[in-house]
Amino acid sequence: MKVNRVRELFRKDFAELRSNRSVFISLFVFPVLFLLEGIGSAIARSLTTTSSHAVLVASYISGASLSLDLLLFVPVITAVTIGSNSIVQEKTTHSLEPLLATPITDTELLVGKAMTPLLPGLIAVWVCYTVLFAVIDVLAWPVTHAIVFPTAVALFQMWIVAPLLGLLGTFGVLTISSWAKDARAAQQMSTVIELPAIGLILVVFLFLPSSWEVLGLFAVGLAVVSYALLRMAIRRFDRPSILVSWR
Amino acid sequence: MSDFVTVTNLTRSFRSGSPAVDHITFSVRRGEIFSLLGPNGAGKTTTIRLLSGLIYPTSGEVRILGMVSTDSSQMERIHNAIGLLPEVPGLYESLSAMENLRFHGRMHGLSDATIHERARELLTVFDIWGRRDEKVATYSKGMKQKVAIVRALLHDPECLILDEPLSGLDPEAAKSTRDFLVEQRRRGRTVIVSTHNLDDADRLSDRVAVIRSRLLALDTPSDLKSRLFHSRVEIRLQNGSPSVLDRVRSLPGVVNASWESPTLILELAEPENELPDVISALVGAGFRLQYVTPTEHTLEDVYLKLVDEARNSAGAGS
Repeated sequence: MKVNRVRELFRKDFAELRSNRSVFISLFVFPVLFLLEGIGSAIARSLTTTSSHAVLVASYISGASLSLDLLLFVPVITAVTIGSNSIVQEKTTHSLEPLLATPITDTELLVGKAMTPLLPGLIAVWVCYTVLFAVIDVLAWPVTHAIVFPTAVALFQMWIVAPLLGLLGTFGVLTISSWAKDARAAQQMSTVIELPAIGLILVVFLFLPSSWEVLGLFAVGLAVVSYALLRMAIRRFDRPSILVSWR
Repeated sequence: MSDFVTVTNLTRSFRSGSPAVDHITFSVRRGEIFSLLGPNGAGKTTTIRLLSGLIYPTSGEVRILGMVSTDSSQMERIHNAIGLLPEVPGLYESLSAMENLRFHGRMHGLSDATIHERARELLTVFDIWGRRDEKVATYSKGMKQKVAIVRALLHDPECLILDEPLSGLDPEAAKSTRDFLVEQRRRGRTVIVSTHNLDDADRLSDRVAVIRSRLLALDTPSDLKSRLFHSRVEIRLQNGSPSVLDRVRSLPGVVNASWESPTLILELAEPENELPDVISALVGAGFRLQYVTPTEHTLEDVYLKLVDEARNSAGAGS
């Protein structure tokens, strides 16, 4: 696999994404909303008085947890929104044929196509987590004189769970693209990916007791499924059939 | 001249219906302009895609520079040896012409300096260099076609495979593109063209293949014409009448004769030998000749005859 070809495909896809302002701006709607929810919650807590530092710290952590959990939806939503259109658009605008006439391999094409759906969502999550940590720490400092965030769990979510969810969404969409019989089916089926992933996040972070065992098992599960989807996408990706049979 | 592409018993079927390409065998020599002609749905685009290694044959094989087109280990060499212009330009409309070319050049492993130099040279030929940084979406159909041709040439391929290269071009641009293709041949490039424009094919091609799923004919345009039609001569008579037909039909070598007042139209087996006798006979019979004009059958005549015969034989067979 030649990295420069993957990088060029990502650059091109990202330039195209950026040129479509409405789609590009819409990518930031959910992260900003979830971030504002977290900041609002932190401000509300900073206005309440309590005698116990421990209670206050716990209160900030629990107040931010909903926002941090909700932000985990972002890589999945972004991956599906951008990814479902990625190969489909190349086909419908007839740019797939000249692209496939270059020396790009299937693996390079799929990895390159995975970058644009994956990276914007991930970067949005990382930025939102960082901003939220900073806001909470600034608000809490006068009373706690201690750093509240990042907690170990929050860092785990930020650096492990969020990328894995992004990969799951991206590879899921690419697998569907390589399976779909036509462009519209690929787009419609891709949205189905969102539901189990979002359900999984809700169950793990909102309903199951928070423990390292649960988080670890969740992360390993995501990694295994994502890898399986990538392998499947590469194996099933059939450029001649996309070129010939997709309408 | 060695072969650039060799096609052997090439067949490509799709899920429904008869094969789009059915047991076609031909070769394309280095440095020639080779045209694929055929009606809509004849399998020209499928053949172009098979030759470019974009899709694989159901049976048979395509060899490009001796490499089998389905050999994934040779894919990079094959794709670098070919410059493809698809039926639809397929440019990224939200990017500029230069961004499109930069992307494709980098995919072929060219340096930015080479891309810039080649793009400047080629876009200048097609008179787009001044608008290179404008979004492709703002271009006319003809300009998009020109950029797509430049894209096909950017990595300096040995062979150009062009699907309807003159489509959407105004007469001036079409002329400059034709000249450009002839120049490419002069430089030793192989050019494979699929076209509906028989006049262009006649003027440009060293050899043409007429296909209708199957290969109907393959030869130089002039040999195809002489193979399928006798030479035709038009003789304009000052004092002619339909009765002249009785006089000429009995002459040796006259295959066919017709009268379209005031012109006598003759088909002759060997005009160089027979025409002097025909003229003598007409003058001897008191006819006054105004002009004697040899006329050629066009490639369109050849094409229509071949496709018509193929249609009739398919109809008779079914």
